[in-house]
Amino acid sequence: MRYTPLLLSAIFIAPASYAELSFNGFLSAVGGQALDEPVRQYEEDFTFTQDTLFGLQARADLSDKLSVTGQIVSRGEDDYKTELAWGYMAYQLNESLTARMGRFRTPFYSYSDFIEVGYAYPWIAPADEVYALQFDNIDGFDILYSAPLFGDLSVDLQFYAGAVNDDFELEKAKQTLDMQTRNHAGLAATFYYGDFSLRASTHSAKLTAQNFDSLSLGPLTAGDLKAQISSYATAQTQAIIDPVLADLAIDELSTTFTQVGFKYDGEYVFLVSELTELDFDGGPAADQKRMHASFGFHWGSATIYTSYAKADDEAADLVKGLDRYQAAIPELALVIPALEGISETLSITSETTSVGIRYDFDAGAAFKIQYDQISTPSATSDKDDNNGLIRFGVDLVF
Amino acid sequence: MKALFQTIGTFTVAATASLFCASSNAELMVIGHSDLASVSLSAKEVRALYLSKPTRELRKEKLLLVTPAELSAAFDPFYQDILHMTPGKYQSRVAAKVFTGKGLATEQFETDNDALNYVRETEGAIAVVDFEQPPQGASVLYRHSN
Repeated sequence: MRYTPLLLSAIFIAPASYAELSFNGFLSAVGGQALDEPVRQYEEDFTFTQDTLFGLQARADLSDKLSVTGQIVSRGEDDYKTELAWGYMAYQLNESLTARMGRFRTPFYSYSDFIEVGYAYPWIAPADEVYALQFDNIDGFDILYSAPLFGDLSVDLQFYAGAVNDDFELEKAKQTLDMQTRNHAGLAATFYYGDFSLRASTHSAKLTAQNFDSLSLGPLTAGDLKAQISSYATAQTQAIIDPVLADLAIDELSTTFTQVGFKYDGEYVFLVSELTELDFDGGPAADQKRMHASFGFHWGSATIYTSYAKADDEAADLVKGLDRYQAAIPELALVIPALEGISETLSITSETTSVGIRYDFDAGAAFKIQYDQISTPSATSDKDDNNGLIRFGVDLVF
Repeated sequence: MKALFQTIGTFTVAATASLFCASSNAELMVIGHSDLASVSLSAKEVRALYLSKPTRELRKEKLLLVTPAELSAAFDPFYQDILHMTPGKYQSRVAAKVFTGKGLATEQFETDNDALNYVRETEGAIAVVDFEQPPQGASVLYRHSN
C-alpha cells in the first residue's frame, strides 16, 4: 500500500498546534516447546520467536472529527522485520457513523481487530484452526456504525471493501502462495447486551494465487501436472480433463466466508464460541467448516480456561473420475496421487484441546501459560497423532 | 499511670472515630467537565460508559475518561461495585478498543485532586474520584451510595 507510509508520516509531522498525539504500545514475549513432534512451527527444543511480537501505535487527532492512526509491528516469526500493520485516516461523520480509509484489520473474526494484542484476550493466541485466514489486513475503506438500539441492546455494524495482496503460508507444504483478493467486501454486525455479545459476518472476494503453478509436490509442480494432464486430452477424455484443469488454478475464484460468534464475559465466568465456513466456487482448496469454544473462570486477577477447536475440511475432488481412464493412460498412475496430494495439502483436519491460566500481575501486564493437545490424522495408522505443545509468556500494553 | 492509660484510650477512640467519620463521609463520585452539567448517570450507565457504550446524550461528546487513582478510596468500589471486574480485566477491555483505533486510552492520575484539576480544565473529561463534598468547578454525574 503506497499511501500508508504517507499517512503514518502525517502523524509525526503534523504541527502540534493542530494535532493531539497519543502513543500506545503492546508486547507479547512468548516461548514454547513441542513435546512430541514439531508442531505449529514450534520445535522439540524451546524457542521464543513464533508468537513473540512488539507493536507501537500512534494516533493524531487532527480535529474533533478527523484522526490518523498507524501501527507498526515487529514479529519474531518474521525475524523481527518491522511492518506497517495498518494505517488509516478516520472521519467521524456523526455520533454513530465513522468512515475510514487506508489499511485496517480485515474483520473476519470476533477477535480480528486486536488479534496481535495478546493482552486483550485470555489465551496465548486465538484458536489456530479457526483463525487460519492469513489476510489480517486489507487496503480499502470501511464505514462503522455504532448505536444503542433499545434498553441495554446496542449494535456495531461494519461494512468494508478493498483488496489484499499477501503471502499465504501453506504449513503442510511449507511453501508460500502469493495471493491477492479483488472485489473484496464484507459486512460484520455485533449486537451487545450487557456482558453478552453476538457477532455475525459475511465476506466475499475473487481470489487469485499468482504462483499456484509453482506449488511443488514431490517431483512435480502444479504447472507440470497441468501440462502433463493436458497432454492426455483426446476426443474421449477432453470432457473429463477440462474440469480437472479448471480446478488446478486459483484464478479469480469466487470465495465466500461467513462467521458467527457468541461471547459472554461476566464477573466470574466467560464463554466464547465461534463457527466459520469458507466456500470456494471450484478450485483446489478445501471448503472449510471450523469451530472453537472456550470456557473459563475469573478468580481474582487470574483467569483459568479450557478450549476446544476443530477443523474438518472437505478436501476438493481434483481427480473427478480421471481414474476411470487409468487403464488406457498408464501415466495417470503418477498423476492421480499428485492430484490427491494437492487436495490434501490444501485441507486441514485437526482438533486442539487446551488448558491455560492468565494472571494479571501488574498494571497492563499479564503472565500466561497454555498447554495444547493437538490431534491430527496419522499417515501410517487409523489412530490420530497426538502432539503436545506448551507455551508461556508475558503480554504487556503501555 | 491511670491518667496516661485514660489519655491513650481517649485518643485511640477519638482517632478511630475520626477515621470512621472520614471514611463514611467521603464517597465515590463520577465528575465531569462543567459542559456536562446536564448529565446524570446511574451506576449501570457509568459501567456502560467506561465499557465504551455511553448513553445517547454522551455519544455526542468527545469523551476523555479518567479511572481512579490507585491510592484513591474510589479505586476498589469503582472496580468491584460498578465495573464488576478487576483492574486487569478492565484494562484488557480498554486495550481491545485502543489497539483497533476505535477508542482512546483512559487516563489515570496520582491523586483525586489531580483528576479534578484535569476535569476542570478539559472539555469532555470524566473522572472517578472520592470526595466528601461535590467539588467546585466540576459537575457531579453520579454519586455512589454504599
